[in-house]
Amino acid sequence: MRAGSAWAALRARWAAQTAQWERERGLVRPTREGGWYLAVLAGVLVAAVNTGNNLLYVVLAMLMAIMIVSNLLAEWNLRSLRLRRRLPPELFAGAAASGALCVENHRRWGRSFALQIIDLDGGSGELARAVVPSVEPGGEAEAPATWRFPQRGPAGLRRLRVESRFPFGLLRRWRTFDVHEEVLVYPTLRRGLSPERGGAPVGARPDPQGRGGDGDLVGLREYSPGDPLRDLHWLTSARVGRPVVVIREALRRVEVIVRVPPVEGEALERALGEAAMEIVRHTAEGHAVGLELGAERRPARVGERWRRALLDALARSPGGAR
Amino acid sequence: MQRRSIASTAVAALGLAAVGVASGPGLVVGGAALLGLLSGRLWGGAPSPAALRTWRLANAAALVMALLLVFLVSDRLMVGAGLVGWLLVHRAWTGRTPSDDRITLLLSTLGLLLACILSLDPLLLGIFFGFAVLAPLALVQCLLDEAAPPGAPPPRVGALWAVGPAVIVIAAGLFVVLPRVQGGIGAGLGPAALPGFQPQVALGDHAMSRFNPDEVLRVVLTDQDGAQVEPPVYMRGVALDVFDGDGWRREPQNPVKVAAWPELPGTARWWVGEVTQVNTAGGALFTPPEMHALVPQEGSFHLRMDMSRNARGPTSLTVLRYTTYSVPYAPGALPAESAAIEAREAGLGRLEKAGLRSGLWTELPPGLDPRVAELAERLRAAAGPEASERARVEAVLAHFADFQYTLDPQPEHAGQPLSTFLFDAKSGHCEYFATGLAVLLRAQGVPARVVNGLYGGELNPYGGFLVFRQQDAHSWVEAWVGGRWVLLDATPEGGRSQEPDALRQIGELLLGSYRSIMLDYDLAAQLDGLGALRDRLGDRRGLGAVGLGGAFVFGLGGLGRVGLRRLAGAAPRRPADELGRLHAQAEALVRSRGWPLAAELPAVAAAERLVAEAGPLAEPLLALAWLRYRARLGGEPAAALRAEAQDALRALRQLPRRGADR
Repeated sequence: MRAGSAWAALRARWAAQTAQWERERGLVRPTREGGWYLAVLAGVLVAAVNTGNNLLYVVLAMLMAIMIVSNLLAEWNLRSLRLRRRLPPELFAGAAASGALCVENHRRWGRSFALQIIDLDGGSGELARAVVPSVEPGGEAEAPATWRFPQRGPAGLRRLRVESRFPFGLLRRWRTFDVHEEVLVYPTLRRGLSPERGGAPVGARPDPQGRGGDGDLVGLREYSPGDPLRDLHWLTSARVGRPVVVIREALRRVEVIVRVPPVEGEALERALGEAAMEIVRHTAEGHAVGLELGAERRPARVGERWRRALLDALARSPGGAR
Repeated sequence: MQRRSIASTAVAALGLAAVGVASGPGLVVGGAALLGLLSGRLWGGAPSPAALRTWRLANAAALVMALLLVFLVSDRLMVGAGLVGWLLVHRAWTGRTPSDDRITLLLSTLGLLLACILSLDPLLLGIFFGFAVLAPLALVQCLLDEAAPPGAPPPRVGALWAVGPAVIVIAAGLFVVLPRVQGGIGAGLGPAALPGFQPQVALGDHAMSRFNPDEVLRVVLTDQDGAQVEPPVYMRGVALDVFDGDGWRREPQNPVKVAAWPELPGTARWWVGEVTQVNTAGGALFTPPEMHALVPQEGSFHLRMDMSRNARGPTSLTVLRYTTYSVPYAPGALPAESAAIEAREAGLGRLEKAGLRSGLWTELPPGLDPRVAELAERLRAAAGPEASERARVEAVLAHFADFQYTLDPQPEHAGQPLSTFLFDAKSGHCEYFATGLAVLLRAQGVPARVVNGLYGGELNPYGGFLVFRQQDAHSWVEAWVGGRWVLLDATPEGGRSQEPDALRQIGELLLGSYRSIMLDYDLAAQLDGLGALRDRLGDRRGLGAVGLGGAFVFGLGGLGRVGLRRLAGAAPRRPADELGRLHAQAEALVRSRGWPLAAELPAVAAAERLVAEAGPLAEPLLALAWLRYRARLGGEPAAALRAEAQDALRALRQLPRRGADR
């Protein structure tokens, strides 16, 4: 029992030490070709020791020197780097979010080459990955990356890893950086909100000033399910080959209250997704949008910040089947 | 052609060149493979699926053929070299990715490995040098190609060209310090043994090396007065005891391990030879005739002798160095009759006596042509019935006076090469002369054996040593006459002399340097170096010099390290980062006063938390964090914010220590 606990303590200590190395200097593993290379090196070593042939010692020294240079340059390549994420302002669960992973090279001399930046989740999986061919000394570079979060709500991004097979592709060396970031993931966008199912979750009433839907034409947009057929712009629809509706002055002034029904579990998730879709759609059309979520009532307003506030409320809504 | 293709093709070509240089006749095959490699790289486009299928079939066929050849051909390393060449060509035609090129480089390394085993040619050193420079560059280029986005050019190599020279410098250091601990498990992996010096030799084997100018031995041979012995000189290799009609073999005997000679001879009475043997010759060691003692230099290997005085060393060492002590001799100088009894009792080993008693050296094969015995009887009769042993031997020797020397003997009749030589052709090379003489002596009852060795030697006037080449291979006879073994050579002079060539002699001198620096560097040399270092350390002046040297090296290293750290570690002098530096100083100040700062939070959030805990005196940190954000993300010029940031840092110094009364 005592031996078992000592062993566990030893393993824990080793794990902590490895994690420290991973942060400070980086860890190293051979690649597939590096494995073959090491096998050849071992063969040359055996042959040189057995035969005493100095030409074999020359080859052995050469192969070892390549390995040493490889390790030194790999360590140099990852030195003095800073990593960060550039996430999109809105993240929806289940949808690909395109952003970038950025790397800054704080060295005064020496470019960094062939960097792979990986956003790690809590376990051993990865959230996003990007490849940066090179970063100039004192400069920075970024490469596109795509995140995909499975569920709504607050999500913690913890660590970024930079790894490289520079210079010879024989060793893979990596360092991990603690780059904490909290993001809020909005519900999955869902179409198909219907009055029958949702008990008329969305209510739209005319502008308080009394103006209806027959105002001046201010633009065109793609048809969405639920749009009245009389708003179809037939000529443009025929030209572009898909239904297009007109946006009239009066429509922009519509106040929309998105109502989330009092349901639980999977149904709540679905309703939140549909509500998020409505908020996105109506704010894109310039409508004033409000929200009724349980006991919470938010009046209809316009603007980007208000839209995010509504989506934040949906994302933080308790319950559901997250 | 891409830069990567050029570099990796050059490395592959070096691998093939190494195999070609090492394998001699394989040079043609290596050249053909090189052509295939280059054409594959130049004209081979991306292979179609059908072409890949064909290549796969061809690969399988090549592998099967190589396996068959391994069983059929004795030179398995050459088969391996051929296979490596084939695979390199295959890669050149089918591989296009950086990963393929890395495999090509590994195959080239295998080629170098095989070349080292097959040969000690100094050209290999140049090839290794090229490989050490080019291989890292090719590998770097592979990686950069991989890292580049599709369609975009790879990043420039820039200063990375220096990796090649760096590899060479480190490799040179490693070559010096890698300990030469020899295991000996891979015995037999050394260079191929010389033909004609194995325990069993067919008539004609020995002549195979008559046109090969490769060096075998380098000997500094001095006589009793310390003067260089002039060539031609006999160097005894292997004595063969049993003749079976087609060839000779050594009697299988248990060789005796020689731990120490009974009496280490002084140099006054002997010819002393300092021998450097660069070919294992199947373990045979070369000594002047009538060798008295053989001492490995610095105890570098164990020595074994057998009843025919064959000295044998290890087969795994590539270079053997030893000193021989031998009795001055003259070929054919037969001892006086009166000295026979005295010599008979002196110096004869137990095994040798047993061999003489058993008739080992008078035995003849059962199917020997009866004309041989008749000839021997005729020669005995011609010498006279009362002729002494010495006179009979001279009569047999005289029989060969009319024979002709040729390296192209007539085809044998009815499987009797000796009869063809003695009665029909009357011409042949040294093996035939030696065999004929030995068999005729045996037929007369005189113990005789054939010795394969080296004869001649070219004096290098620049180095003061004798060089023996494979073309100096020779056969002669040792006959038991007058109570001792006497060297008898029936082969006429001819076709053996060689014009001295000054250029070649200078080349051999350089070769000697290569050998002493590269090939002879062993554990003893390493220990000598350590010993010299220790002696220097024992001496006060030497100690001071070593200390100063060490301090200088360490100082340089330290300066280099500091410089590199400054280059690598310091943030660039950019305005945005100057504010970052001020912010870092502020955070360090806060921590030094005992306040916690949440490292996992963004700078502003961490500062806000600190203000909530420490109060308004911590607000300058919050201000600094915002200033940094404004410069970095808001695009405001850092120079305009610097004074404000410095003020904030000064104000933060008012922050008290945590827990102190405010």
